[in-house]
Amino acid sequence: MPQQAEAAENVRVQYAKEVSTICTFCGVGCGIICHVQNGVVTNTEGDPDNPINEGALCSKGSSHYNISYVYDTKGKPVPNPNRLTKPLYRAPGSNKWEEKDWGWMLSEIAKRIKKTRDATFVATSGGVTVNRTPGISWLGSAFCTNEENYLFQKLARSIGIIDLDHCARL
Amino acid sequence: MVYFLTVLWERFARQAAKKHDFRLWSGGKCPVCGQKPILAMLSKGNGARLLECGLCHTRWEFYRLVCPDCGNKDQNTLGFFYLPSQQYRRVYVCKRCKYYLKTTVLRELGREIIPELENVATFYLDYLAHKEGYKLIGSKKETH
Repeated sequence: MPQQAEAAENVRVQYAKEVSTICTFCGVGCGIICHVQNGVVTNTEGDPDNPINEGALCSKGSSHYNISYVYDTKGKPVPNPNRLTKPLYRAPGSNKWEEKDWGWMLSEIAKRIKKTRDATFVATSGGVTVNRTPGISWLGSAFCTNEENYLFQKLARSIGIIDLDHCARL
Repeated sequence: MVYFLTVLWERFARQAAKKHDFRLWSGGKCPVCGQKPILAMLSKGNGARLLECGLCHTRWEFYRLVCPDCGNKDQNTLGFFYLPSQQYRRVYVCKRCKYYLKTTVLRELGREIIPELENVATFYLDYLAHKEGYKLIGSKKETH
């Protein structure tokens, strides 16, 4: 018994906080409980107290944690190596991704939008002025605020895009 | 003396459970006899916290992020501790009222438990909780 008592003296317990938050993906807003140890989120699970989801999470919500962290072989959270940290570009027909800088990326995106819009622009249809471009589609994001998504769709519609959608509809 | 009371209370509680829906009860004390819980479980389905009464063995659902004793909702002073070698047992603590509550995570463990046996088998968690400075949230001994 003394041997076990000594072993018990040396045991270190690990503390964790349970913090509730809301899933960032679609508009349902399911509750998520995060386990926080030493300022690092180590686990996420559905919040059973939340009346919206009652502890359940969809596949996107369940894997929310892996946006930032994955577990290594010892079970410790490490930053996910698959996170994108730089803009990547794959040329048409190529099978590899190249790193580009933001300046090149943004002007290239603007050039291609202009090119595609000019090539597919439809001014009138059946005698009615439509001024649309069916050659471009635009995807909103649940990671952006409602205000940002509002500006996105204003910009898209102003250049004639009619094929608008949002990742929450998937 | 106290174990004799459990025999009576347990039979009464079983009858009471047939007549009442304990899902309508949101208190930290037992809905049948008013004692504090002796043990908690996180259910396998959705992780809901189930409290088990020390006297009459009634089981009822309670919030995860609220202290069953003092009603503390501040998530900075709630939480739990665990032994890294045992992910399926936690001791939920409240730093405001300094009470602790042993909890078994059925999702991690993968099977049902018998709370009375689990309470005895986790005596080391009681020792660790006292070492960390917490008091037991409710037990038969408290009636002495």
